[in-house]
Amino acid sequence: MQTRVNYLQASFLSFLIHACLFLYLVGFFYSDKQVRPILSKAVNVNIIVEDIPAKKIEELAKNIPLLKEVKTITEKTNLVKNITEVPKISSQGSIMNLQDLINQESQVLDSNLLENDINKYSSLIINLIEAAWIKPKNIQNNLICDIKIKINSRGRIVDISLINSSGNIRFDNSALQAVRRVETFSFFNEITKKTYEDVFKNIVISFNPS
Amino acid sequence: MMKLFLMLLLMPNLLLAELLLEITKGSENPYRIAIIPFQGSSSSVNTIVEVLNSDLVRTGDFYVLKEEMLLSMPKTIEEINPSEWKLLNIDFIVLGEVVSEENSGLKATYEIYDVNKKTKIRSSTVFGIPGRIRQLSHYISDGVYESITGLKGISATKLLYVNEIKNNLDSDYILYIADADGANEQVLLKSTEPIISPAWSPDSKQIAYVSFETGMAKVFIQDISSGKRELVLTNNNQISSPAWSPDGKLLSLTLYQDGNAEIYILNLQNKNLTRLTKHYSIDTESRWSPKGTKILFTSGRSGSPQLYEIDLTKFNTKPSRLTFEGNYNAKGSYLPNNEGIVFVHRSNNEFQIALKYFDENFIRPLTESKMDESPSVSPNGNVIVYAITDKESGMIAGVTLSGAAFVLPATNGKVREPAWSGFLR
Repeated sequence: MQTRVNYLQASFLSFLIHACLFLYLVGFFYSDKQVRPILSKAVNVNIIVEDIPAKKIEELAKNIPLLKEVKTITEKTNLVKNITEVPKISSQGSIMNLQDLINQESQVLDSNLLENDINKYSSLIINLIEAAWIKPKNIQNNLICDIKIKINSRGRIVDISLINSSGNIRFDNSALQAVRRVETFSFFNEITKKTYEDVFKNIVISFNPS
Repeated sequence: MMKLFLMLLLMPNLLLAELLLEITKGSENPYRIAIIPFQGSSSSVNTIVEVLNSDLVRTGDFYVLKEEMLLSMPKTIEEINPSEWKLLNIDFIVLGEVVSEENSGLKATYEIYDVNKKTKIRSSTVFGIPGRIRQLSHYISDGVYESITGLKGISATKLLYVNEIKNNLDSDYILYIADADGANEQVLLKSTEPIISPAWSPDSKQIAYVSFETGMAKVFIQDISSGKRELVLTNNNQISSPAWSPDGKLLSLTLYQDGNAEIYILNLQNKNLTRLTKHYSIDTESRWSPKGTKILFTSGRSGSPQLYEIDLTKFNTKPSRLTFEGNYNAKGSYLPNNEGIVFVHRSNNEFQIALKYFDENFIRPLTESKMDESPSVSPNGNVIVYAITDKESGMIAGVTLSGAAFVLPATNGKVREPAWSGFLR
């Protein structure tokens, strides 16, 4: 008798569990109105858009070298006004005229030319020194030494000094010998006087095979 | 591909910093050099060219053009046609003249021409003792080596070594001094008992060695020019492995005073002995660092022979272990610039000469023979001589840090324990 009651109880319990599972699967427990749990409260944020004063923009503009002369225009009405009255306002320095633009472009072009020249002649110097450098074997890894050279306007190396030793005499000597072997950079007659004075008069050569 | 590394600013007015160019690659090929036969008497001229050739090739830094490959024989710098030598890919040309003068002995003038620069880079005159044309040639090759590499040459230095010559059941032991190329061999001491561990004084005027002539291992100091010799300690202990301090005032030794090998320092002026090591294992084969502030030695304190270093500037300091690779690292010497050590390393039951830089955590094997021993470093730190031995014979071989290897001319007997002098000029 007792066994029969137990079976009944177990069957009822099993029925309940399966019924619940069935109801869950058909979505009985969901409703459209159910609200997802709120993890945090909403925060109201007020975005304040502040007009940057014209003076401040002008100051920022001054800090950009290539746009040094350019004045920023903040209001549409001012822009129209400035365009219609170019000669007058330009004389007051508030906006560049055509000549300024040409000068500016010319400066940028000069700068590009200079950069090209520096790249070109630097590559030639590197090629010559690399061809002359006999790298010693059986030396430590990661050795670096720096040699400062002074070159006269005809391209002859007139002064060589080891400014940063690798700590290995064989490595340092090989680098010094490489520079001594080059002695003259024959292409220096192509370099303008200003570029020579500004860039190629004193050079630091870093020997870093790692 | 070359790496261009420009640290420059675009604006010319801001170009106050110096241009920095980075060199990342170089050639590993040796310098190519042509030696024009010197002018002068034929016997001298042939010797000079032959010695110059072998001296420069042995360094591993030079390729010398064979005489039959020379396109022309210019007698002066002015007669050199650079484009002709460029075709042969020659970097430098050596030419000169040797004359024998009655009063001053031999005299040679030589010039070095740089083909790439199209200019003379050295003009020099050297003098030699009459009849010593090889020595004069070594002076010239050292001048050539230094002009081109920037490093001092070692052709005019000397070697010490011991030769054991079997004589029926007995052996004769001969201590020799010879030129760095093995020529001009001269006997310094001959004994029927073993001679081991020859060492040079810092000025290369005296030598120290261990002789068993008294029935015990004893250290002698001998003056090279006069042959006068002296026993450094007269006590009843076995003494071995002498090594001079760089100032020449002290001698480090191994003494078997307490039945165990320990390292001591002997003051050569007052003969005071100072004990340096104290350990139940063997401590021996001491060598001084180039500045004389440290001593390198072999010790079995870790269970196998390893190299240790003791700092003499710190009181009561413990030796620090320098080698950890393998179970045998012994007979160490410092490189002259104190960047590392050279020693005998056992790998796969083969004894090789190895190099270890202090700032690296690995060793660099330099040789590939099976039984290499007793390395000695040249005074410029570029070449290491060592003994190759087997049961029957022994020879002296050398290896340069440039990778070149050579064997010195064979002599009868078993040659071993080479020791390289300092610079003699």
